[in-house]
Amino acid sequence: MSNQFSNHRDTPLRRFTAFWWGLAYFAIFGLVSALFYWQSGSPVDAVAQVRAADRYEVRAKVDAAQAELLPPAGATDKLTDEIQGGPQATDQFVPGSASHARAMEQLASGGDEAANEGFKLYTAKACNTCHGADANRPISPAYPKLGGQNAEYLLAQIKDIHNGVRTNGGSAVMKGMTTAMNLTEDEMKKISDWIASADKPVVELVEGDGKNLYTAKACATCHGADANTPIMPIYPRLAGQNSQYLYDQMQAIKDGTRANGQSAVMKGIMANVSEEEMKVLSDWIAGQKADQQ
Amino acid sequence: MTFKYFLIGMFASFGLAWLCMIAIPTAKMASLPPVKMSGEEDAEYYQRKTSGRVLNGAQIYAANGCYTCHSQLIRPTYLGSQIFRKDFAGISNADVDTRRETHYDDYLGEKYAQIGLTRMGPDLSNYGHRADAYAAKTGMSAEQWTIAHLYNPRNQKLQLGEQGEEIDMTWSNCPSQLQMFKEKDLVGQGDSLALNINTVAMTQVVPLEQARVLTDYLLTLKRDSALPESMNNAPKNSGAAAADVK
Amino acid sequence: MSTQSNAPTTEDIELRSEIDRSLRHPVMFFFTSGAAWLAVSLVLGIIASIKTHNPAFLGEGSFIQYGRAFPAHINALVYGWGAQAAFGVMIWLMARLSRQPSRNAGTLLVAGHIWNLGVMLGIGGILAGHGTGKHWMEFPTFVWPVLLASYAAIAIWVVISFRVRRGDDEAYISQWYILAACIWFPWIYLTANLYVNVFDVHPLMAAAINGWFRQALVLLFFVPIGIASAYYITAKITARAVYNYSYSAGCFWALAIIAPWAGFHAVMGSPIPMFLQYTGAAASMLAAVPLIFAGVNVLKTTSGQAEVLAHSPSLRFTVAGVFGLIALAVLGVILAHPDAIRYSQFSLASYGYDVLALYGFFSMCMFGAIYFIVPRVTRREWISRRLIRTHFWFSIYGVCLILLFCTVLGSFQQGAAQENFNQPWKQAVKSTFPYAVGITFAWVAILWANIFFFIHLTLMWLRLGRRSSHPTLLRRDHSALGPHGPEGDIDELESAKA
Repeated sequence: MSNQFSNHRDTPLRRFTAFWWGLAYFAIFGLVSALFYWQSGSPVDAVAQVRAADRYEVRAKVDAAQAELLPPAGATDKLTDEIQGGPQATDQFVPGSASHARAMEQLASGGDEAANEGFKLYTAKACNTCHGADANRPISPAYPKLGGQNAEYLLAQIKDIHNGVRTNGGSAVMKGMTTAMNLTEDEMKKISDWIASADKPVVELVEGDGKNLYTAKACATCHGADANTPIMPIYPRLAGQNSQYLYDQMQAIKDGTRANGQSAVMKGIMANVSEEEMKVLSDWIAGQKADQQ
Repeated sequence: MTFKYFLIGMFASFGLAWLCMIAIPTAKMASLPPVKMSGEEDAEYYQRKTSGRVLNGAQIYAANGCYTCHSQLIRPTYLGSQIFRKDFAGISNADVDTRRETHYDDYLGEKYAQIGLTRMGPDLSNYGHRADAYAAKTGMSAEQWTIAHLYNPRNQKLQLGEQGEEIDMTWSNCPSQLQMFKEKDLVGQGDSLALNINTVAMTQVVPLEQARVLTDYLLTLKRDSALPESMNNAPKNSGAAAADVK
Repeated sequence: MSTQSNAPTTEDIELRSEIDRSLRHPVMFFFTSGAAWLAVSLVLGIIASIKTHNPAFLGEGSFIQYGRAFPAHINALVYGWGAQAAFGVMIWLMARLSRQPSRNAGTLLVAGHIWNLGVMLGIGGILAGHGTGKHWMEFPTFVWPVLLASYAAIAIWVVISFRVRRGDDEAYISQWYILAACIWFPWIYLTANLYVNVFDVHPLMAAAINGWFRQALVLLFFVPIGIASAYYITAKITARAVYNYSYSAGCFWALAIIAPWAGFHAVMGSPIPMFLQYTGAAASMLAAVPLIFAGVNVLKTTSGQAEVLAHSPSLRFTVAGVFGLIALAVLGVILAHPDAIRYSQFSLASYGYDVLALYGFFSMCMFGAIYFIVPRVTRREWISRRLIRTHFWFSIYGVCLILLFCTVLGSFQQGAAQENFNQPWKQAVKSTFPYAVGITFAWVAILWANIFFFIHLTLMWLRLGRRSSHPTLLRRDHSALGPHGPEGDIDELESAKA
């Protein structure tokens, strides 16, 4: 049996402290090395740094020179506002987008029972495929915007196209649609009523050649000075209509291709209007500025 | 000697050496200042340029023990004469003499300077230049020559003398790195790096990725770039004295 | 160790046997697994050596090509055999000198297995082509923390053993050496691995620190343990005090102060700061002083004891090891000198130095210790004196041949041929061929020696040794009654006494 009791050094405490101090002493130079290395850092590529410093200097000079040449901040603000405030050349109305969904909801829910039904019919009978979901975005500039048009005028046109009385332009195509969709008179009425209640195209008619011509050629006497208040509900509103469509109708009425409704009356007036004048007029009525033709 | 003095003595004796020989020199070597090529105002800084997959190739070099027989160190003349050996230290001919000792930036791109243990094989500091020379003599590219050497260092067709005669290579004990090659079927015109040896018809021996990477590394070994004036130890009237100030 | 009288008390005997019994498992494990790794290392060494003059030996398989076999051989020698022999001797010697049985044999055994696992993974990794290319640190990088952790689990018990030593005498010089080696190993190993494998340092500094690591491991781990073992064995077997205690203490401190500066001359001629290269060389040369003085101190302890030397295997191996130490010191002076480095730096000289350090000095001292310790731990005696003699003499032949071929003749010849820059490189290689063949023969001799050692040790481990109270000596002196008492079966005698 060992006389362990005679060893005054062998205590649990001494063993414990020796264990931990021992491990720490083993590790000390590893720790010191790590600290020293961490403090001194890993190798730097001194040449690359010097060259980079040169490049940064040059860049700072270039930035300063550029800053001098540029107009002050805010110099283009007025221009930006003008561009953004004016009428939009094209409308972004992508089906599936949020604005599209909002617009559709608005269209479907605003107005009375009859108007809503009219909108549903408008959509169900595929009128939206050519004239746009809100009746104001036709797929071609030769097709008319319909929103806010007089209900009587609209109804007359649908009937005339459906019955083959009006045949100019895209009427044949539309006749095919109305026939295929089996439009009844009641449906036509409802659709016209709804379209009449839809938003009008917003447009700013400016002074200039177009307006002078509009007055001089007596267009204002029937269609209103602002092209938006015809003297009779059977006459159409014009302001904001597609320029191409307006031009085509003026041509068609002048040469007799379009002869429905009050076209005969207008035919006489159009005899005095040349093609260039028609162009200027249709652009002005469409709301385009003179320099945007 | 008590335990306390023992511990203090150990720490002090080892610590002083550690500090002076390891910690401080490593820190200093990590931040070596840039050196201008000459004393002129607008002289460029010396910057050694490397290319190729140095790091990967260096790992393959290390793993296959190339350092056990090849060195990569041209010692100063007071410690060794290998600088005078043909092709060890650079290019030396009638027009130009670029030979120089190893510089501290020569191992750029590697993590560990493979200085080497012995010289059973020749020094590889400027192997790139030697490969170019051998390749020119034998009509291969430097890459092809190196790969052929890795496959069979004792291939007599690789070393041609002045008159194009084969030089005896049986003395070489460089191991053949067969694990870096594979026999594949011959398809179309074959691999451009395939070895020019007779295998069974319709197969060829091609180098694997390892061989190409190692070759890439070996061909970057050209340690004879012009040094700054302050570090150029070449004798004044030798071709290497004028440092290229570019 | 100074003993007042040559007759140990019963208490002493019982304490000693208790210490031996408490450590029998870890000590035998370290010795046998170490010897197994020694065999592996020798086989790899022979293959590597043959590959230097006959590259097609055993085919062109990549896992035994020279570039993989040689690092595997050295690493197995250092970590597989050298470290484990050191561990076995370390724990036993400290326990004996502290007169305290160990209570942590289980932990030591587990840690030893983990060490072996690490070495196995490391050697396998090198042969499979995942070596790191840093000499003596070629194990794949995930191995070193494993080895360090298992080392800590082993060495901490040595430290504790020292701290709880029995008795109020001053500690023995061997205890200081062992304690110092225990502490130096993690300092060196951790520092080197951090700087070389973990930190992002300049590639040349990484190579320089690797050179420092190799020299530091020899001078600050293997040398102190070898010296500790030498002091103990010689004092024990000759039953004398160490020749001069103050010399031994002085040598210890000289080694501690000088050795950590050594090693950077391995990268002499490279563009690292001059201060490092030349200080490293100077320190390596100066380190010869404590080594030679320690060697002389040990040899003086045995002076006039030629009879004992002739009989005792432990003492014979140890004294041979001490001569190896002195040779190592002299060789270190030669090889560190810049004029010699010119020729020897890229020759086989450093390999010869490593072999002399690891085998010529350290292993011989360890064999001496093993021949002493194993009978005490297994309570059996060595079976055959012939096996021990074969082991001894063939080891000596091998070491002398390597010393001659690697370092003295071969390397300078090789270096001179390399320096002769007008001759083609072929000359430098061809001039080495005969020496390469000679080295192969040397390793074969050493393998021959150690095959018998391994067999012998395994039989002892299996407790098939001689049951006798008389130690196996190298001379057969027939004496029924000697200082060891009547010859007979050790167990029978014990039960007869009781």
